[in-house]
Order: sequence, then C-alpha cells, then structure tokens
Amino acid sequence: MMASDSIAIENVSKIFGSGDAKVAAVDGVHISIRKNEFFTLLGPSGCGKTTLLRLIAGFEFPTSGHILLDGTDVSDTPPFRRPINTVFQNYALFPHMTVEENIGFGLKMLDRPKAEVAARVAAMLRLVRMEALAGRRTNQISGGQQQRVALARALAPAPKVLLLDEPLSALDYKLRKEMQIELKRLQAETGITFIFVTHDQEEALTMSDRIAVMAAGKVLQVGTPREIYDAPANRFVADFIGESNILAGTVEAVAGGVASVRLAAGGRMEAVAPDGASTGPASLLVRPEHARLAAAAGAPAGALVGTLADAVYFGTDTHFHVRLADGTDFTVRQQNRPAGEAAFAVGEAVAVVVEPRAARLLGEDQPRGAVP
Amino acid sequence: MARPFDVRRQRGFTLIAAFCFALLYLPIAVLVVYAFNAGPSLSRWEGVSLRWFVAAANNAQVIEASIRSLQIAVSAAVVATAAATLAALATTRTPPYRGLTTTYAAINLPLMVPEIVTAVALLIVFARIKMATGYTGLGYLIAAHTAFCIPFAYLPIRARLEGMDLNLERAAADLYATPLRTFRHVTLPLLWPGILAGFMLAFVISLDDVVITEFVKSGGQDTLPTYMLGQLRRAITPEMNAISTVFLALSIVVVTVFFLVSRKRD
Repeated sequence: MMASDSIAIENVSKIFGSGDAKVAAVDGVHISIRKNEFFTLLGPSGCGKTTLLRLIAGFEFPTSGHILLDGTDVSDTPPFRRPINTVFQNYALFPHMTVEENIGFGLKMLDRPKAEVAARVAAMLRLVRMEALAGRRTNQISGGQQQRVALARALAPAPKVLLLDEPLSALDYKLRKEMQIELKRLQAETGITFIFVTHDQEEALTMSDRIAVMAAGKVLQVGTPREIYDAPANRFVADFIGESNILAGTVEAVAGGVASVRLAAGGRMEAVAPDGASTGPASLLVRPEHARLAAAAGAPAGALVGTLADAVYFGTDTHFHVRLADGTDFTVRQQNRPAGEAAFAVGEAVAVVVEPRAARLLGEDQPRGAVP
Repeated sequence: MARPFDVRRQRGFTLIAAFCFALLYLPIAVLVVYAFNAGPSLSRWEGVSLRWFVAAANNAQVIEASIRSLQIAVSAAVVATAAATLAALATTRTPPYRGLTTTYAAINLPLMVPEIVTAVALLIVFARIKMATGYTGLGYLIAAHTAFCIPFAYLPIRARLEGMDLNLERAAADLYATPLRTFRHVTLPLLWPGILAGFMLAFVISLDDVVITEFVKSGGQDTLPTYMLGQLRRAITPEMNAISTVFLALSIVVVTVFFLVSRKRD
C-alpha cells in the first residue's frame, strides 16, 4: 500500500456456497487504486466484477484477504460506516421521497445540520443540472434524470470513493454518450476516486485512467486503456478488448524483444515479444486496423495470402474478411477513401500486409475455463 | 384468419356469468332491501321504514355485542399485524437457510387447519387455564383471534416485502443509515400499504368469526356474529337485516378508504 493509494485490495477472495457447491466469485484479487483515479473493472457477466464492487461497498465481506481505504483496514466495516457511496445499476432511488430528499438522505443520516444539508443539496442539484425538478417524485422523471439524481445522491456526502455499477447500461446510445462525458466532468470537478464497473469495452477504453480486466473471479491484467489494447497480457484480454486476429504459429527465435514466428497459415512474421517469451508454439495478435489488403499479384515477400470471403461496409471504414491458407479467418479494417480507389471483389485472391511492429506475441491463457 | 380465442364469445358465457353474479349479490341485495321493511316479515313487503335500524340501535344486547366485537377485532388485529410484520421481515430479509420452507409452512398452516379443530383444541386448553387461574375475561377470545389472524396479516406484508427492491435498503445502508434507521426511513414507509392491508384483513376476519368464538367464549361474551346466530334460532325479524346492512356498509367504507390511501402512496 502506498500513500497515494485510495483503495488497496489485498489477496481478496469471496467464496459463495459450501462443500461441493463452492464458487469463488472473487479469487485472490490484488489491486491498488490511486487517489482521484477513474478505475474500471471490466469483464463479461459473471466474472466477479460486481461482487468485487460489493465487497468494496461493504454489502459483502471477503472470505479472505483485506480491503484498505486510505490505509485503514475496512474489510469488516459495515457499509454505513464506510465513506464510500454507490450508484446502483437500477439507481435504487427511494420511491417515497422527492428528488431533493433522495439527494439529502446521506447527509441527513450523518446528522448534519439542516441548513448544511439544504445548501449541499442545492449545490448537487446544480452540479447535475436538475434544479428545476427538485420537488418531483423519482417516478415522475426520465431514466437519464434518475441517473443524475442517483449520481447526486451518491456524491452529496462527499465520499472518498464513488462506486458505479454499470450505471449507463439502462440508457439509450445517445444519452449514454452524454453521461460518459458528464461522468468524466464530475470526476474532474469533485476529485473523488471513481471505481466503475462495466462489460462495455468501448466505454472502459474511453473513460478510464486504468482498467482491470477480469474473468472467472481473477484479474487478468491491469493497465491504461492503451496498454490493455496494444499489449494485452493474453488471448482472453486480446479477444475481449477490441477486435483481434489471432494467428497460430511457432516461435523459432527470440532476440531483443522481437520473436521470429513461422505461421501455420504460411510465411513468416516478426512479432513484438513480451519479456520471458520462449520458442515453441504460440499465438500472434494483429489488430484489424493494423493490416491492409493488397493485390495478390506482386504482394511483398512475407505477406499473408488468402481469399476475400466478404466485405462489409461500415461508413467510415470497410471490414474485409479474408480466409487464409490454413482456414483461419482474418479481418482487415480499412478506412474508406473518396470514391475511385480500386476495390477488391469477393472471391478474389488477396494479400494481407501487416504493418511493422503490429504483430504481438500473446502470453499464456491462465483461466481457460473462464473464456465465455 | 383464425380469431384469437376469446372466452367471452363462447355460447352461454353471458348466462353463466350473470348467474354467478346473481348468486353472489342477489341475496345480499334482498337482505339490504328487507332491512328497510316496515313490517315484521322477511318475505312480505309492507313499505319503507327505518324502524328496524332504530330497534337495533336501541337493543342493549346488540350494542354490547358490537362493542365487544370491535374490542376483540382491534386488539387481535393490532397484535397479529405486529407479529406478522416481524415474521415477514424474518422470512424475507435473511439469506435462505435450512428450514425456511418449514417456517413458511408453520406460519401459514393455520389457514389449512379446519377451524373446528382449532376451536376444540382452544376450548380444551383454555378450560384448563380458566380452572387454574380463575380468569374468565376477554383475553381468551383476543388470544384465539390473534392466533388465527396472524397468517392472514402475514400474506400481504410478505408479498409487499418480496416485491420491494433489496437495493433500496442497501442504498440506505450505503448512505450511512444504521439498520434501525434504514428500517424507519426506507423499509417501513414502503411497507406501510402492506401492513395496512394485513391489518384490515385481520380485522375483518376477526370481526366475523363464529366457529372459534362460539367455542372459546364464556357466558355473556357474545360477539355480534354469535349474538346474531343465537337470534336466528328464535323468531327472526328484519332487525337482523338492519344489523347486517350496517356491518356491510362499514366494511365497504373501510375497504374503500384503504384502497384510496394505498393508491395515493403508490
């Protein structure tokens, strides 16, 4: 635990059930979250991210391990004594109270003077731009407005940490984009540590300072969005974040962080190798936007060749699906240019040119069973 | 094109429906109408009069039995609702445990036990207690009514608790409310319509109980229903209709008030 840490999760496990029906929802998780960080727990449903959030909130208590808040062990502290507030997935606004009463609830329970509560509620209403609806019942406002009230209610007591459990999943696309910006603004203005749970990788990439990718109760990788995307620790992370092409091959030599790989689809490729990479069978990752199509005739040496199986137009870009010699599917995403550029016909033989340093050797997959 | 099946379009549906409604409401309508009969007959109409209402209001036995009925019903409903609320909280706000189903069964079993069995059992037990203590007051009736009212009060309260989002109580705890304050500020206000419904149900069930009351009551402890039953064995006048009509009107008022109150809260 360092002084700059807001939350330290030390070897925390949470086991539900007993005997043969035991399930480790959270399995030996060890992460530190810094002060004023926007930290995201990302993973498929059932990966343990929500359980981890509930352990931090105090709705569940760890089976083993410790949770530290600003250096103090809060593992056994009940939720009403933790200066941590939660924005629930379904908002959980109190239906028998007005917007104002909802926002003031935390401060009222802290026995703050009435005048202070009123002033703070007014400030919160301003912060989330809900002044006009202060006296409304929570069932008289829209989903987006309920979301803002839930945020204001959780921020009003000025917690040290704010937990957000997939708070945007119930909103439509446009509103979700707006709220993403709103959340970043609120975090910057309040200076509170945000721990955000989502299964939406795009949301995680655009909003987070750092991301922890989880599967089967374990943390597979912690890093900045760029680290997670560009240098995924293993195949699961590579698959889960963004689109990926995985090529099978055999590492023949490793030197100076570069591996020379013989591909099952034919040819040879240089790949960025993580520390400790060794020779033998391996998987290569190539992102679809890091490759381009070329005519098969006169393709540069070392290019992958295959047949164009499909081309899907996406407006800004086109996704080309190429069937390689060994049957592997490889997707190339190419930005669309002004009309007139030579197109490729489906069924045509094409070459896939991978940019230098774009291929990356993937590490071992530990939790194979976790891959959905 | 095949029309979706609609039971209302079946031959004879209207007739069966009309017959069922007639069976339900016609006797009550006749009873109410004859409460206003000027003559002493239940079958021969002799003009409109309020004389049987006046007679009932001046009948000391009716007054006494009504007051006793209300005393028992209010006491039994209050105690039963309190017990049922605690039982509902204990069976819904807890992680599932071995024996939870058995607990449900134990709480609801009185609904299944034939009333006459309970009545005889209580008669025997209370007789012993009476002999041992010499106490012969209303306590026995209140205790008996409380016992059979609990499952009735329990049903709507449990239903309300099960329909309540557990995250609301978690949110309160998250916002620094101790368990007691969570109950006071969140659970109880949201549970209130369920508690009210449980109370009303218990109140009504107690008010018109005959079997258990008949077995448990001591001499001179007639409630309104047992008094009316006693009267039926003699010459019967529209006074019984008048009492029933007041009873009915009271029930309708109570149910309507409850409906309006609970709708406003939601």
